[in-house]
Amino acid sequence: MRDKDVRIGVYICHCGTNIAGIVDVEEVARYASSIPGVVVARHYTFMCSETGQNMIKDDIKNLKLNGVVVAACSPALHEVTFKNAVKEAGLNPYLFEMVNIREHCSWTHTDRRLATEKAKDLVRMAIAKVKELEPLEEVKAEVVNSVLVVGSGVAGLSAALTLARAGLTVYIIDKRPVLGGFVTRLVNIAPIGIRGREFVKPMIDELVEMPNVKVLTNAEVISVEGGVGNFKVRIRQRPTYISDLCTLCGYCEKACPIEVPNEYEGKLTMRKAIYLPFKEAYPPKYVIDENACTKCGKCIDACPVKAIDLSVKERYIDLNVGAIIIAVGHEPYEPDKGEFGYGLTRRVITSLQLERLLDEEGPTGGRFIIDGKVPKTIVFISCVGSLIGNKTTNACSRRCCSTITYDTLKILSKNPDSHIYILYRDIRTYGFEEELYWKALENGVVFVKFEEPPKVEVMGDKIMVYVREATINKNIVIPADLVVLFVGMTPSNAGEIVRIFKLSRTADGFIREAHLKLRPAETPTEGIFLAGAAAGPKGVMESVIHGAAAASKALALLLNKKYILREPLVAKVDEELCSGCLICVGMCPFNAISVKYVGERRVATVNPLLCMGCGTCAAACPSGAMEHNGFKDKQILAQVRAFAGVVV
Amino acid sequence: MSKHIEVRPEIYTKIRDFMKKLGADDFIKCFNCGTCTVACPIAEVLGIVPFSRKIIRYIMLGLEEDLVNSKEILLCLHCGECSEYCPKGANPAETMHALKTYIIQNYLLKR
Amino acid sequence: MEGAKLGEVAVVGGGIAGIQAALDLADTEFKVYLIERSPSIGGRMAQLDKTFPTLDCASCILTPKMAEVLRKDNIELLTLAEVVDVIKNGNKFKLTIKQRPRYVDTNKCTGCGTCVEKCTARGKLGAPDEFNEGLSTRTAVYIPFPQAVPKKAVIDPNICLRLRYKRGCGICEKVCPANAINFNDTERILNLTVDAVIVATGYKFIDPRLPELSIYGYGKYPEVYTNIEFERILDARGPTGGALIKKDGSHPERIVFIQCVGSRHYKINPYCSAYCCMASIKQAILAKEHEPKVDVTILYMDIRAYGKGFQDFYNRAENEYGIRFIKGRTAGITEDPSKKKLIVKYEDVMRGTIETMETDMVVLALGIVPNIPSFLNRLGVVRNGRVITRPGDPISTYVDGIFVIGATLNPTDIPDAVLQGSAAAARVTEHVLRRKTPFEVMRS
Repeated sequence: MRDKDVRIGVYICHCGTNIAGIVDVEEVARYASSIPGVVVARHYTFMCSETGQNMIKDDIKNLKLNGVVVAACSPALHEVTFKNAVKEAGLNPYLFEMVNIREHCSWTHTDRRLATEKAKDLVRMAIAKVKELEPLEEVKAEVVNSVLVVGSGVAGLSAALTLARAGLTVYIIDKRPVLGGFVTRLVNIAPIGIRGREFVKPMIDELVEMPNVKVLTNAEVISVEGGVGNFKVRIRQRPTYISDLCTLCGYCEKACPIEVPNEYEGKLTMRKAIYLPFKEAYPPKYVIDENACTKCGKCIDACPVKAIDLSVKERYIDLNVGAIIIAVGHEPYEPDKGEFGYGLTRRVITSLQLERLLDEEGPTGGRFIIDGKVPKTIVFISCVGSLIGNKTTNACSRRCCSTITYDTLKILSKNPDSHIYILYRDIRTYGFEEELYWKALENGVVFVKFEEPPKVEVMGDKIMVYVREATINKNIVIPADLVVLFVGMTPSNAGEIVRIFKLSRTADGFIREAHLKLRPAETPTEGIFLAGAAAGPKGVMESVIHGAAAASKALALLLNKKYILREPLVAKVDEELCSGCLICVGMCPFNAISVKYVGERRVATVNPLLCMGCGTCAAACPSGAMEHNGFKDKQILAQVRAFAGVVV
Repeated sequence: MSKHIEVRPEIYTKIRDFMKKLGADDFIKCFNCGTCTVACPIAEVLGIVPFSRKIIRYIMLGLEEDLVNSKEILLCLHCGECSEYCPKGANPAETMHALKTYIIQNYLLKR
Repeated sequence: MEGAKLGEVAVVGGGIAGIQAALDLADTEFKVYLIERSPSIGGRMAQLDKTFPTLDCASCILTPKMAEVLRKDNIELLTLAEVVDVIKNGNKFKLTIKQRPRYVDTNKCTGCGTCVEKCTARGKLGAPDEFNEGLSTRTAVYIPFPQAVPKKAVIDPNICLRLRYKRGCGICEKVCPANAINFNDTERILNLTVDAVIVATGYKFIDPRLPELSIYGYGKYPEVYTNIEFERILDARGPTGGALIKKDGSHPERIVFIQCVGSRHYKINPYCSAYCCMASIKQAILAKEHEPKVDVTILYMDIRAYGKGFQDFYNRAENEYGIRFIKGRTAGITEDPSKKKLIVKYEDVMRGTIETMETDMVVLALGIVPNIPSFLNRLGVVRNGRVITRPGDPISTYVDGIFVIGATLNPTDIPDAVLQGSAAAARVTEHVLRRKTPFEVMRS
């Protein structure tokens, strides 16, 4: 752009007093209007408001602006807002530049004069850049109308059902041999009181009947390429060894010589290496625990329908999907041996084992007994692994308080003579679930508040729980028959998921959402959504909602859509300058650069749909052939010169 | 760990059953907020705090020794201020009254 | 599918939950009617200064969503409108909507504010400013708040001199550069037929003047505030321009927050209002950021830091900001008129002592009640003041096509309201697609 053609508008936002409290916005606007090429400079309380946006739109139309600078908050917040305003006024949105004078000036500095000077520098630099900007067009990309749901717990099932009902093709995978996730281990979901397995059964039944749904168990994602609208996902499926011929007769299980603790029964009982996880399990067939199986072959001989084939190898499946929903759930905290007496006696159990003991179909047939005896005095210790314990997430697990109170009511309905003590930090039965707390109190449950975690000592057939009752400042000891450690939720395999999907985690170890408040079902990567406890502790109902919300995002992206528009801020090769050294090809983390021939000459070429705009290739290119739209050398150098005071 | 006092669920059950007969067993609703203590006109004057919250904790935990030795129970005037303010709609004044009867019947008369 | 719509949906309530539902539906190619009772969308969130636990400026994150509502071609925004009845008619719902007159032509008004500057009904003749919870007054013609959507003026007929006396004044009409004022505007009854209805009418605060709450002295002592009033004081757009000052203009030396006011109480709300612990912690931090010397105490029963990042926020408040957390519940607030101090008496439960604290300001963390529109009662989905939904699907009522989200359902914080908004949009898609083509929809 030549100076005489340049017509730039500059808009300085007060952000209430967020910016104007420190930066002299009037002075910045006055200064901006003195820079050659600027035809108008205004300041206003909230540029993002309708009035603020209209100010820009009107100027574009009336003053025939061909460049816009807005100095306001972080582009992460409002770049889209202003880009759209510019576009609606008929100007190419890539002729707009945003300056962050809130986070970079007013929020970080206290000296009014210096903050104002810095804001002026930043505005001057942006004006210099805008003079060098070029109009760009969005890239139109075809989308694949299918979705991959990773994880088949409540959140994953909820998401998959919604998507499938709306008609999209859905792939739902789980690393375990059966669908249903964690909830299948719960006996009663507070506060609705439905058995976990019964809760997911209708969901699974409906899902697997749909022709547009494909279920893969024993399967994990090992790599992801591509981007929103068109992901290429590679899945590894470990063999199940058992075909659909299985009739659930159970002869194989009787024949199997190997016994291991049954994780589906909270390890309270043993199971064989070939086993049926639970009665309602889907797929309805036996599974083989690879880690325990010695491939002795006894099950093969026992099987009357020849459903077992131990020679099956793992297989790889490549999927092409438009969106991905991550619903990998959580893992319950597993206390160390000796932590609160866990592992030292069978009468210190986790809340998970309690669930199994209360289940009619559990190892005791729903009779609440341990070691053949009805425990009379029961102590619950809450927050284990959440706020207290050897390894904590230092975060509240959200559901335990409601579940504890619910479980105590269940125990009291079975054994009304039980004495129950709940040792707690704070009782967090939020919302209507406060009523569960009141009910537990009215049923005689005793609540003991502690500040220092309790100590547990095993003494013969009694377990002594020592605790300082903080509200009367007395050290007390409870001789208990059973101690239940209410274990919190910890992230499930989040490190691996984060690596494969190029995401990040929050301080508690769970997967980070795009925005904690307003985009809780999205990840920062377009087209990858988040559901359920993968994002942090959640209850069953909350996971149902989270799953549906993630599905809603995928529906908005893919339902009846053929194309999506992508930002053109990607790398571009100047084929004249490219020497064909292909350094960039190796540098690109997204496999977006490939080789092509222009006549005899070998040059690099960028697939704009795969390019994520990281700029690595542009920095690495030795001949300056690779440039990044919106961040070209001449644009950045103009900013640098403007900063140094060389007004161009 | 001798300095730890052992909780006695059977004492709790016994008192609760006794109270139930007198219609004063709604102390079990207590969620330990301490409103009764501030509402009590004698707690502050006589310096016997926290009252009656502490007494209710003693019952819940079955701390017999502490209960028998609590002079508060005998000092309570049953003015009902605590019951007026209790957010759980419990009746600590009634509880104190019934507890006085319990203590007299079970311990003082027997001494 | 340019132009073709999957169906038509009414979203009742323009708070964050309703806004999210409307946006998701619009993106999924539904025609959406967003029906809001007040002159602007934004709901309670628009009144907040910052949000917990990230301390994001509420309007910075909400305004883009509000602006997006306006930008979407397939969202039709009806403000000043209330749904008076919903009748199920086969697969459709017939809505009767009463829309109050704005007296301003929204097609002409530019939101310039000239009329507001010149309006004569101000000060004593004005009305309590709803956006500032009555801590300031507004004029008869007004724009609800700086980021209002739509940013159009509205005339309050109860105080407008022209509308009350049918003559005189009319100054706004004279000064309006866009000729947008219309004193002849009238109430309209609108009828809509839609495929589904999402109810997101939010919540009401417990009235701090209830006899059971008179012990807190609200309305009696000027320095006893509700938490939403205190939020307005913290906000740069608020009555004090963001200055943390008392009504007499002086800075408070001490602030005491009282939790569970009207919540966890057998006569008022037996339940927990879920948002207030974190809201008070946030306000306490903001008070410290406004006035680092101010002494802040939170009187609580249990700190319910249950959501993502909440515990960390609570710890930071205590350790980094030096906010004092005391487990205890006051039995009442009195005043020492000679010192002009409020006196809060409580039991410090963790120490077993009765304490008396002199303070300059008291903030009451008010409980909330679902705001259930009467048509939900008539549809038979309300029992004992609560909306009844399906077990296992907390947003779907037993009337197919009627979904209820956000605080209308139970006390809900912003992320949960947003999730429910999106989830309701998904439920509508399922509902409409399954009904329209029961056999063809399954294409693999």
